[in-house]
Amino acid sequence: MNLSTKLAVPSQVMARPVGDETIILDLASGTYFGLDPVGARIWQLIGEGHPLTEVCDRLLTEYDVERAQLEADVLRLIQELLDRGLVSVP
Amino acid sequence: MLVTLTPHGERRQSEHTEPPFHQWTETSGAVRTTFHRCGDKYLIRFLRWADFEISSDGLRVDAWAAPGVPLSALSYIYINQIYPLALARQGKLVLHAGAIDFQGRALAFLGPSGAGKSTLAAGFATAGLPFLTDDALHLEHENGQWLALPSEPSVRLWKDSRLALGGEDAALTPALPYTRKRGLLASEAMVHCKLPRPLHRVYVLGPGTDVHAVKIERLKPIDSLHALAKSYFTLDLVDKHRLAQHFDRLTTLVNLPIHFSLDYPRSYESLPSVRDAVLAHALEPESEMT
Repeated sequence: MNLSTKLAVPSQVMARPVGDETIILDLASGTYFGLDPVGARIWQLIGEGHPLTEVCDRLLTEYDVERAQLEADVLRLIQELLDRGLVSVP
Repeated sequence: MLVTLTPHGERRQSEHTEPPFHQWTETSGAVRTTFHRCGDKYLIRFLRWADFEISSDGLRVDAWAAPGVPLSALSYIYINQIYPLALARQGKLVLHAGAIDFQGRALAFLGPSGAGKSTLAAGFATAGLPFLTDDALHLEHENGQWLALPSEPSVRLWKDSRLALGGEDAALTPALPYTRKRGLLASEAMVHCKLPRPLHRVYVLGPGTDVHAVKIERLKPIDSLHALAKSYFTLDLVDKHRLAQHFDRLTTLVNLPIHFSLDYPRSYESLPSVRDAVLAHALEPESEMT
Protein backbone atom coordinates (compact mmCIF):
# COMPACT_ATOMS: atom_id res chain seq x y z
CA MET A 1 0.00 0.00 0.00
CA ASN A 2 1.36 3.40 -0.97
CA LEU A 3 0.11 6.82 -1.94
CA SER A 4 -0.87 5.75 -5.44
CA THR A 5 -3.21 3.12 -4.02
CA LYS A 6 -6.93 3.38 -4.60
CA LEU A 7 -9.04 1.72 -1.98
CA ALA A 8 -12.44 0.11 -1.90
CA VAL A 9 -14.99 -0.18 0.89
CA PRO A 10 -16.24 -3.78 1.33
CA SER A 11 -19.96 -4.31 0.95
CA GLN A 12 -20.39 -5.41 4.58
CA VAL A 13 -19.10 -2.06 5.85
CA MET A 14 -21.56 0.76 6.56
CA ALA A 15 -20.67 4.29 7.49
CA ARG A 16 -22.94 7.04 8.74
CA PRO A 17 -22.27 10.61 9.82
CA VAL A 18 -22.89 11.22 13.51
CA GLY A 19 -22.42 14.89 14.29
CA ASP A 20 -19.07 15.87 12.85
CA GLU A 21 -17.74 12.32 13.14
CA THR A 22 -18.28 9.24 11.01
CA ILE A 23 -19.18 5.91 12.57
CA ILE A 24 -18.28 2.80 10.65
CA LEU A 25 -20.04 -0.50 11.31
CA ASP A 26 -18.55 -3.76 10.10
CA LEU A 27 -21.63 -5.93 9.68
CA ALA A 28 -19.49 -9.06 9.47
CA SER A 29 -18.08 -8.63 12.98
CA GLY A 30 -20.67 -6.28 14.47
CA THR A 31 -17.94 -3.89 15.60
CA TYR A 32 -17.98 -0.11 15.37
CA PHE A 33 -15.17 2.29 14.56
CA GLY A 34 -15.27 6.06 14.93
CA LEU A 35 -13.56 8.65 12.77
CA ASP A 36 -12.98 12.21 13.92
CA PRO A 37 -13.77 15.04 11.46
CA VAL A 38 -10.44 14.73 9.62
CA GLY A 39 -10.74 10.94 9.42
CA ALA A 40 -14.32 11.37 8.27
CA ARG A 41 -13.14 13.63 5.44
CA ILE A 42 -10.49 11.07 4.43
CA TRP A 43 -13.17 8.37 4.46
CA GLN A 44 -15.39 10.47 2.26
CA LEU A 45 -12.60 11.03 -0.28
CA ILE A 46 -11.72 7.34 -0.31
CA GLY A 47 -15.37 6.53 -0.91
CA GLU A 48 -15.36 8.86 -3.90
CA GLY A 49 -12.61 6.71 -5.43
CA HIS A 50 -9.66 9.08 -5.15
CA PRO A 51 -6.18 7.55 -4.88
CA LEU A 52 -4.36 8.49 -1.72
CA THR A 53 -2.18 11.11 -3.46
CA GLU A 54 -5.31 12.99 -4.45
CA VAL A 55 -6.73 12.55 -0.97
CA CYS A 56 -3.62 14.25 0.39
CA ASP A 57 -3.77 16.96 -2.30
CA ARG A 58 -7.34 17.80 -1.31
CA LEU A 59 -6.61 17.80 2.40
CA LEU A 60 -3.65 20.14 1.95
CA THR A 61 -6.06 22.75 0.57
CA GLU A 62 -8.37 22.25 3.54
CA TYR A 63 -6.00 21.99 6.49
CA ASP A 64 -2.92 23.89 7.58
CA VAL A 65 -0.44 21.02 7.73
CA GLU A 66 2.91 20.01 6.21
CA ARG A 67 2.65 17.46 3.40
CA ALA A 68 5.03 14.97 4.97
CA GLN A 69 3.07 14.97 8.23
CA LEU A 70 -0.23 14.69 6.38
CA GLU A 71 0.94 11.75 4.27
CA ALA A 72 2.23 9.95 7.35
CA ASP A 73 -1.08 10.50 9.17
CA VAL A 74 -3.14 9.39 6.19
CA LEU A 75 -1.09 6.24 5.68
CA ARG A 76 -1.34 5.41 9.38
CA LEU A 77 -5.10 5.74 9.31
CA ILE A 78 -5.43 3.73 6.11
CA GLN A 79 -3.27 0.95 7.53
CA GLU A 80 -5.53 0.81 10.57
CA LEU A 81 -8.62 0.62 8.37
CA LEU A 82 -6.99 -2.12 6.30
CA ASP A 83 -6.03 -4.08 9.41
CA ARG A 84 -9.65 -3.95 10.57
CA GLY A 85 -11.00 -4.96 7.20
CA LEU A 86 -12.89 -1.69 6.80
CA VAL A 87 -11.23 -0.89 3.46
CA SER A 88 -9.53 -3.12 0.95
CA VAL A 89 -7.13 -2.84 -1.97
CA PRO A 90 -9.06 -3.98 -5.07
CA MET B 1 -51.56 -5.50 17.05
CA LEU B 2 -48.25 -5.86 15.26
CA VAL B 3 -47.45 -9.29 16.72
CA THR B 4 -49.72 -12.35 16.85
CA LEU B 5 -49.38 -14.17 20.17
CA THR B 6 -50.55 -17.77 20.48
CA PRO B 7 -50.56 -19.18 24.03
CA HIS B 8 -50.42 -22.99 24.08
CA GLY B 9 -50.93 -23.80 27.75
CA GLU B 10 -48.40 -25.60 29.94
CA ARG B 11 -45.27 -27.38 28.74
CA ARG B 12 -42.33 -28.88 30.60
CA GLN B 13 -39.05 -27.15 29.81
CA SER B 14 -36.99 -29.98 28.36
CA GLU B 15 -33.27 -29.50 27.98
CA HIS B 16 -32.29 -27.76 24.77
CA THR B 17 -29.72 -29.56 22.62
CA GLU B 18 -27.84 -26.46 21.49
CA PRO B 19 -26.16 -24.04 23.89
CA PRO B 20 -27.75 -20.57 24.08
CA PHE B 21 -26.30 -17.77 21.98
CA HIS B 22 -27.16 -15.28 24.69
CA GLN B 23 -28.44 -15.22 28.26
CA TRP B 24 -29.65 -12.86 30.94
CA THR B 25 -28.50 -13.30 34.50
CA GLU B 26 -29.68 -12.13 37.89
CA THR B 27 -27.46 -9.86 39.97
CA SER B 28 -26.48 -13.02 41.85
CA GLY B 29 -25.07 -14.43 38.62
CA ALA B 30 -27.76 -17.10 38.28
CA VAL B 31 -29.01 -17.55 34.74
CA ARG B 32 -32.53 -16.23 34.35
CA THR B 33 -33.19 -16.39 30.63
CA THR B 34 -31.57 -18.20 27.72
CA PHE B 35 -31.78 -17.45 24.00
CA HIS B 36 -31.59 -20.20 21.37
CA ARG B 37 -31.79 -20.27 17.60
CA CYS B 38 -34.22 -22.97 16.48
CA GLY B 39 -34.34 -23.20 12.72
CA ASP B 40 -36.21 -20.12 11.56
CA LYS B 41 -37.35 -19.21 15.06
CA TYR B 42 -35.88 -18.02 18.31
CA LEU B 43 -36.61 -19.80 21.58
CA ILE B 44 -36.45 -17.55 24.61
CA ARG B 45 -36.61 -19.53 27.82
CA PHE B 46 -37.38 -17.91 31.14
CA LEU B 47 -36.09 -20.69 33.34
CA ARG B 48 -38.90 -22.30 35.38
CA TRP B 49 -41.40 -19.77 34.07
CA ALA B 50 -42.10 -19.82 30.35
CA ASP B 51 -40.90 -20.56 26.83
CA PHE B 52 -41.52 -18.20 23.94
CA GLU B 53 -40.79 -18.85 20.28
CA ILE B 54 -40.46 -15.75 18.12
CA SER B 55 -40.68 -16.22 14.36
CA SER B 56 -37.73 -14.96 12.38
CA ASP B 57 -39.81 -12.10 10.97
CA GLY B 58 -41.04 -11.14 14.44
CA LEU B 59 -44.70 -11.32 13.43
CA ARG B 60 -45.65 -14.38 15.50
CA VAL B 61 -44.96 -15.55 19.01
CA ASP B 62 -45.88 -18.93 20.47
CA ALA B 63 -45.91 -19.21 24.25
CA TRP B 64 -45.92 -22.02 26.79
CA ALA B 65 -46.05 -21.66 30.54
CA ALA B 66 -43.91 -23.99 32.62
CA PRO B 67 -46.07 -26.35 34.73
CA GLY B 68 -47.87 -24.49 37.51
CA VAL B 69 -47.16 -21.01 36.15
CA PRO B 70 -50.29 -18.85 35.87
CA LEU B 71 -51.36 -17.34 32.56
CA SER B 72 -51.02 -13.87 34.10
CA ALA B 73 -47.29 -14.43 34.53
CA LEU B 74 -47.03 -15.51 30.90
CA SER B 75 -48.80 -12.31 29.85
CA TYR B 76 -46.59 -10.17 32.04
CA ILE B 77 -43.37 -11.60 30.61
CA TYR B 78 -44.72 -11.37 27.08
CA ILE B 79 -45.74 -7.72 27.32
CA ASN B 80 -42.62 -6.51 29.09
CA GLN B 81 -39.89 -8.67 27.57
CA ILE B 82 -41.00 -10.55 24.47
CA TYR B 83 -43.19 -8.08 22.61
CA PRO B 84 -40.38 -5.48 22.33
CA LEU B 85 -38.02 -8.18 21.06
CA ALA B 86 -40.56 -9.32 18.48
CA LEU B 87 -40.92 -5.74 17.28
CA ALA B 88 -37.14 -5.49 17.06
CA ARG B 89 -37.15 -8.62 14.86
CA GLN B 90 -39.48 -6.75 12.55
CA GLY B 91 -36.83 -4.03 12.29
CA LYS B 92 -38.67 -1.63 14.58
CA LEU B 93 -36.70 0.61 16.88
CA VAL B 94 -37.67 -0.01 20.51
CA LEU B 95 -35.71 1.74 23.24
CA HIS B 96 -35.42 1.04 26.95
CA ALA B 97 -37.17 4.28 27.72
CA GLY B 98 -40.22 5.77 29.35
CA ALA B 99 -42.09 8.61 27.71
CA ILE B 100 -44.70 11.21 28.58
CA ASP B 101 -46.92 13.52 26.59
CA PHE B 102 -46.18 17.22 27.02
CA GLN B 103 -48.38 19.56 24.98
CA GLY B 104 -48.90 16.91 22.32
CA ARG B 105 -45.24 15.95 22.02
CA ALA B 106 -43.28 13.09 23.56
CA LEU B 107 -40.48 13.50 26.06
CA ALA B 108 -38.49 10.28 26.39
CA PHE B 109 -36.39 9.18 29.35
CA LEU B 110 -33.72 6.65 28.46
CA GLY B 111 -31.80 4.46 30.84
CA PRO B 112 -31.01 0.91 31.98
CA SER B 113 -33.07 -1.04 34.50
CA GLY B 114 -33.09 0.73 37.83
CA ALA B 115 -32.29 4.16 36.38
CA GLY B 116 -35.66 5.56 37.38
CA LYS B 117 -37.58 5.61 34.10
CA SER B 118 -40.78 4.18 35.52
CA THR B 119 -40.71 6.32 38.65
CA LEU B 120 -40.18 9.38 36.49
CA ALA B 121 -43.00 8.44 34.11
CA ALA B 122 -45.35 7.89 37.05
CA GLY B 123 -44.12 11.10 38.67
CA PHE B 124 -45.14 13.08 35.62
CA ALA B 125 -48.39 11.20 35.07
CA THR B 126 -49.61 11.66 38.64
CA ALA B 127 -48.94 15.38 38.18
CA GLY B 128 -51.24 15.52 35.16
CA LEU B 129 -48.89 14.76 32.25
CA PRO B 130 -50.00 11.53 30.55
CA PHE B 131 -47.50 8.72 30.15
CA LEU B 132 -47.11 6.80 26.90
CA THR B 133 -44.91 4.04 28.26
CA ASP B 134 -42.74 3.29 31.27
CA ASP B 135 -40.02 0.98 29.93
CA ALA B 136 -40.17 0.05 26.23
CA LEU B 137 -40.58 2.92 23.78
CA HIS B 138 -41.45 1.98 20.22
CA LEU B 139 -40.42 4.69 17.76
CA GLU B 140 -41.54 4.93 14.14
CA HIS B 141 -39.98 7.22 11.56
CA GLU B 142 -42.66 8.51 9.21
CA ASN B 143 -42.51 11.40 6.77
CA GLY B 144 -39.30 12.69 8.34
CA GLN B 145 -40.75 12.67 11.84
CA TRP B 146 -40.13 10.33 14.75
CA LEU B 147 -43.31 9.17 16.45
CA ALA B 148 -43.43 7.72 19.96
CA LEU B 149 -46.06 5.02 20.24
CA PRO B 150 -48.03 4.30 23.40
CA SER B 151 -47.65 1.03 25.26
CA GLU B 152 -49.59 -0.71 28.04
CA PRO B 153 -51.65 1.55 30.35
CA SER B 154 -49.71 0.74 33.50
CA VAL B 155 -46.41 1.68 35.11
CA ARG B 156 -44.47 -1.10 36.81
CA LEU B 157 -43.07 -0.01 40.13
CA TRP B 158 -41.57 -1.39 43.31
CA LYS B 159 -43.77 -1.12 46.37
CA ASP B 160 -42.20 2.02 47.85
CA SER B 161 -42.69 3.92 44.56
CA ARG B 162 -46.24 2.62 44.18
CA LEU B 163 -47.13 3.88 47.63
CA ALA B 164 -45.32 7.21 47.22
CA LEU B 165 -46.86 7.99 43.83
CA GLY B 166 -50.15 6.09 43.79
CA GLY B 167 -51.08 5.84 47.43
CA GLU B 168 -52.54 2.91 49.35
CA ASP B 169 -55.73 2.71 47.29
CA ALA B 170 -54.27 2.84 43.81
CA ALA B 171 -55.50 0.22 41.33
CA LEU B 172 -52.77 -2.30 40.55
CA THR B 173 -52.12 -5.14 38.16
CA PRO B 174 -52.35 -8.60 39.81
CA ALA B 175 -49.50 -9.75 42.04
CA LEU B 176 -47.28 -12.30 40.33
CA PRO B 177 -44.78 -14.80 41.70
CA TYR B 178 -42.42 -13.79 38.86
CA THR B 179 -41.68 -10.31 40.18
CA ARG B 180 -42.29 -8.08 43.17
CA LYS B 181 -43.04 -5.17 40.88
CA ARG B 182 -46.69 -4.43 40.19
CA GLY B 183 -48.22 -2.13 37.65
CA LEU B 184 -49.89 1.06 38.76
CA LEU B 185 -52.89 1.13 36.45
CA ALA B 186 -53.76 4.20 34.43
CA SER B 187 -56.62 6.14 36.01
CA GLU B 188 -57.94 9.66 36.40
CA ALA B 189 -55.07 10.22 38.80
CA MET B 190 -52.47 8.84 36.42
CA VAL B 191 -53.53 9.37 32.83
CA HIS B 192 -52.31 7.25 29.94
CA CYS B 193 -51.78 8.76 26.50
CA LYS B 194 -53.25 6.35 23.97
CA LEU B 195 -52.11 8.14 20.83
CA PRO B 196 -48.72 8.39 19.07
CA ARG B 197 -46.88 11.61 19.74
CA PRO B 198 -44.06 13.29 17.78
CA LEU B 199 -40.78 12.85 19.61
CA HIS B 200 -39.59 16.18 21.00
CA ARG B 201 -36.81 15.41 23.47
CA VAL B 202 -34.73 12.43 24.57
CA TYR B 203 -33.28 12.66 28.08
CA VAL B 204 -30.59 10.13 28.98
CA LEU B 205 -30.75 9.50 32.70
CA GLY B 206 -27.60 9.82 34.75
CA PRO B 207 -26.87 7.63 37.77
CA GLY B 208 -28.13 10.11 40.38
CA THR B 209 -24.99 9.86 42.49
CA ASP B 210 -23.07 12.97 43.55
CA VAL B 211 -25.79 15.24 42.21
CA HIS B 212 -27.72 17.63 44.41
CA ALA B 213 -29.89 19.42 41.90
CA VAL B 214 -31.41 18.75 38.51
CA LYS B 215 -28.82 18.91 35.79
CA ILE B 216 -29.66 18.96 32.09
CA GLU B 217 -26.94 19.20 29.45
CA ARG B 218 -26.92 18.84 25.69
CA LEU B 219 -25.44 15.60 24.38
CA LYS B 220 -23.21 15.46 21.35
CA PRO B 221 -24.51 13.08 18.68
CA ILE B 222 -21.69 10.61 19.35
CA ASP B 223 -22.59 10.51 23.06
CA SER B 224 -26.25 10.05 22.19
CA LEU B 225 -25.28 7.15 19.96
CA HIS B 226 -23.32 5.52 22.78
CA ALA B 227 -26.35 5.82 25.05
CA LEU B 228 -28.89 4.62 22.51
CA ALA B 229 -26.70 1.76 21.29
CA LYS B 230 -26.81 0.36 24.84
CA SER B 231 -30.53 0.94 25.15
CA TYR B 232 -32.33 -0.55 22.20
CA PHE B 233 -34.05 -3.92 22.13
CA THR B 234 -32.42 -6.40 19.82
CA LEU B 235 -32.63 -10.16 19.59
CA ASP B 236 -29.84 -11.36 17.33
CA LEU B 237 -26.77 -9.22 16.71
CA VAL B 238 -25.52 -11.72 14.13
CA ASP B 239 -28.42 -10.85 11.83
CA LYS B 240 -26.66 -8.41 9.52
CA HIS B 241 -29.81 -7.12 7.89
CA ARG B 242 -31.40 -6.15 11.20
CA LEU B 243 -28.12 -4.77 12.50
CA ALA B 244 -27.86 -2.54 9.45
CA GLN B 245 -31.47 -1.41 9.85
CA HIS B 246 -31.00 -0.51 13.49
CA PHE B 247 -27.70 1.25 12.76
CA ASP B 248 -29.40 3.32 10.10
CA ARG B 249 -32.28 4.26 12.39
CA LEU B 250 -30.09 5.03 15.39
CA THR B 251 -27.73 7.28 13.45
CA THR B 252 -30.68 9.13 11.91
CA LEU B 253 -32.17 9.66 15.36
CA VAL B 254 -29.03 10.80 17.17
CA ASN B 255 -28.30 13.50 14.59
CA LEU B 256 -31.39 15.38 15.71
CA PRO B 257 -30.60 18.15 18.22
CA ILE B 258 -33.02 16.71 20.78
CA HIS B 259 -30.76 14.65 23.04
CA PHE B 260 -29.78 15.69 26.54
CA SER B 261 -28.39 14.15 29.68
CA LEU B 262 -30.63 14.43 32.74
CA ASP B 263 -29.41 13.79 36.25
CA TYR B 264 -31.06 14.46 39.58
CA PRO B 265 -31.08 13.20 43.16
CA ARG B 266 -33.11 10.02 43.37
CA SER B 267 -35.74 10.89 45.93
CA TYR B 268 -39.50 11.30 45.74
CA GLU B 269 -39.11 14.78 47.20
CA SER B 270 -37.04 15.85 44.20
CA LEU B 271 -39.62 14.74 41.60
CA PRO B 272 -41.49 18.09 41.50
CA SER B 273 -38.28 19.99 40.81
CA VAL B 274 -37.31 17.42 38.15
CA ARG B 275 -40.69 17.90 36.50
CA ASP B 276 -40.39 21.67 36.57
CA ALA B 277 -36.86 21.65 35.18
CA VAL B 278 -37.65 19.19 32.40
CA LEU B 279 -40.81 20.96 31.32
CA ALA B 280 -39.11 24.36 31.31
CA HIS B 281 -36.30 22.86 29.29
CA ALA B 282 -38.71 21.22 26.86
CA LEU B 283 -40.30 24.61 26.21
CA GLU B 284 -37.02 26.20 25.15
CA PRO B 285 -36.65 26.66 21.39
CA GLU B 286 -33.94 24.34 20.03
CA SER B 287 -32.03 27.26 18.54
CA GLU B 288 -31.57 28.78 21.98
CA MET B 289 -30.43 25.63 23.68
CA THR B 290 -26.84 25.12 24.77
